[in-house]
Amino acid sequence: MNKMAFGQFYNSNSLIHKIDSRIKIIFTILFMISIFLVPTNNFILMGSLFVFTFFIVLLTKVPLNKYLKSLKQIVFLLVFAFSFQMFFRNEGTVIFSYNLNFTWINITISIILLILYILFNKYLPLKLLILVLLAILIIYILGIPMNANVINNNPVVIRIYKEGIISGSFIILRVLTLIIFTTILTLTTKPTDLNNGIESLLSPLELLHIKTSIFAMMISIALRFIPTLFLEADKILKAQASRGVDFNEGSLREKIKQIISLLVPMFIVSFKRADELAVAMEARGYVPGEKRTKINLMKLKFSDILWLILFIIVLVGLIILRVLI
Amino acid sequence: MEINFQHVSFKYDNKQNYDTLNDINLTISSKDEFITIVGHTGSGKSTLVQLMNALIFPSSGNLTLFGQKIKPKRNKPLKKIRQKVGLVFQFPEYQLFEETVLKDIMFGPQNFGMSIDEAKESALNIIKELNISEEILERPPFNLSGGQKRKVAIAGILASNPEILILDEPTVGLDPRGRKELLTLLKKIHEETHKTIIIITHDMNVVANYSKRTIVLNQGNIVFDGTPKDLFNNKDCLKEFNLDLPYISKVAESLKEKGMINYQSIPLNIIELYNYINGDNHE
Ligand SMILES: Nc1ncnc2c1ncn2[C@@H]1O[C@H](COP(=O)(O)OP(=O)(O)OP(=O)(O)O)[C@@H](O)[C@H]1O
Ligand SMILES: [Mg+2]
Repeated sequence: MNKMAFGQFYNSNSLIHKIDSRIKIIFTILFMISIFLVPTNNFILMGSLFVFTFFIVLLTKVPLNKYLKSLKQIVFLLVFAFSFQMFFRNEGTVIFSYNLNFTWINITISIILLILYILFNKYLPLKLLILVLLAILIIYILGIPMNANVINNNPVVIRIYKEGIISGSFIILRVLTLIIFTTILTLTTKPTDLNNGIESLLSPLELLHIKTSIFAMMISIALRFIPTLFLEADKILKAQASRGVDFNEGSLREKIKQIISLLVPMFIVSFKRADELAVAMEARGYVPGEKRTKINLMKLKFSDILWLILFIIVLVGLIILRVLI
Repeated sequence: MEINFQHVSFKYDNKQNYDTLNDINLTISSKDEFITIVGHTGSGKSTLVQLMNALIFPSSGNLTLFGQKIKPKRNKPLKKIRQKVGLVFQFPEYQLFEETVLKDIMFGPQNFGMSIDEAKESALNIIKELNISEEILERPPFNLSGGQKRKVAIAGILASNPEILILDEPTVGLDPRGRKELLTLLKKIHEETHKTIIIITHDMNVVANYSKRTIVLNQGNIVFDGTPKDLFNNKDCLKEFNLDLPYISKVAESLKEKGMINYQSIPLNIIELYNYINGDNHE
């Protein structure tokens, strides 16, 4: 259950860790805007932003595999975006073209491969890689001319254009930079600091009579209680299992009953927790919306301002470039 | 033996570097045992009984329940075992979910293959035994009092008629009368059907008055497994593991200190004490 890494904060005493959380939030937003201001297919600019990001990653003194872990979750997205660009661009210079013949033999072999994949998919390591290889293999097999009945007389031609590959790569670079940069924020800022930062940044809204402190409190309570609720769910799951609920088998009707037997107590427990917490908070003098003092006052340091200026320069530079080009 | 632990160790998380339970060796028969498990908070009592119900699997060692070997990871269907070993959780009020109390009590029995009518009959029997008032039967279980919820949850397990009954601190939150009724019912079930009953408790009076065998856990190790009499006569053991004496034994001890009675083996119940006072006990 502890694997639920909300706020995957990694403690190390780096330069980046010390930056005020408000500044970090602001410059992350500035940098995201910068990334989207880079003209499409301008690899030099995008590449420099990537290298810049990488420098900051080195400064954080967080092991690189922490970053790889967060990238792992978006590999599928990247592959998908790239394939999409590669196959569905249809203008420009063709660098590769391939005829698909739909004959009985080709199709049968492909289907068998697919079924094999679906059957054994559970036991395979590196699922995504194998899936991509499989797709390439199937396309290859479909291309082999067979002397058999052709189902479709006008063969489908796959054409891959240079432009497709270029824009595919550009998208990958852009998304990578984006994800790595936001990961820097979550890896180097404690969830509570992040929350305080957001609260402080939103505080001007109080002038419009929107109680931002209440929202900040809600977010931090939610973060705090998610792991607790998972533990709770585990307990209820066990209690029901000991009463003969078997979550692996049963007809649809039984399945529904099983899920209800889990959900109802979950709701009850959560509401009860919420009630108790509310009472406990009030007993300790919490009044919603009232001004609260903080243990750690956030104070901007000179270096924080320098960081902010650095990112403003990046953004302004890009805006000027955009206007000039 | 129906429950058999051989060098069983358990840890909650593979990254954890200590074992929650350590080299447990234990055999328990499904007939004629009345066992109490004691030990201070966090010593692993609840974890131990969850292993007996195959809710969690051992990290290493051999665990056999009713002839089925429980492996660390994948296991054959376990429903049979859970039917034979009924476990009432430490906070059983969490598990209530049906629309009415009666339906909730019938839920377990139905899962284990009873028809609706059988389940109802079984439930109504237990309800009478546990003195659950008829008027709450048709109410939703969520806004009962804590003690009522606990009784309902216990009834749910008793109604499915397991061969071994395990209760994790069942008397917490019950009033003195409810506590007495529950324990008396367990004793009655034990005497009539010879089912094995296992109770986790912090109350030494329960240990002394009800159980025939008691197991002491300390930091995940079984440090004592024997009769309550042996346990309470073992001063060093009691001291080392911070265990108390039953009330009657305390009384007996201070009487002995004042030189009013003398005994070899400490009396555990009022009758034994009475006999000592009358000088009838010749050991
Ligand atoms: N779901 C869980 N995940 C991780 N660790 C757990 C879990 N449940 C219990 N533990 C740990 O295992 C140890 C033994 O817990 P267990 O609940 O078995 O103790 P216990 O003897 O029943 O205590 P108590 O008398 O308070 O009920 C404790 O240190 C506890 O923190
Ligand atoms: Mg416990």
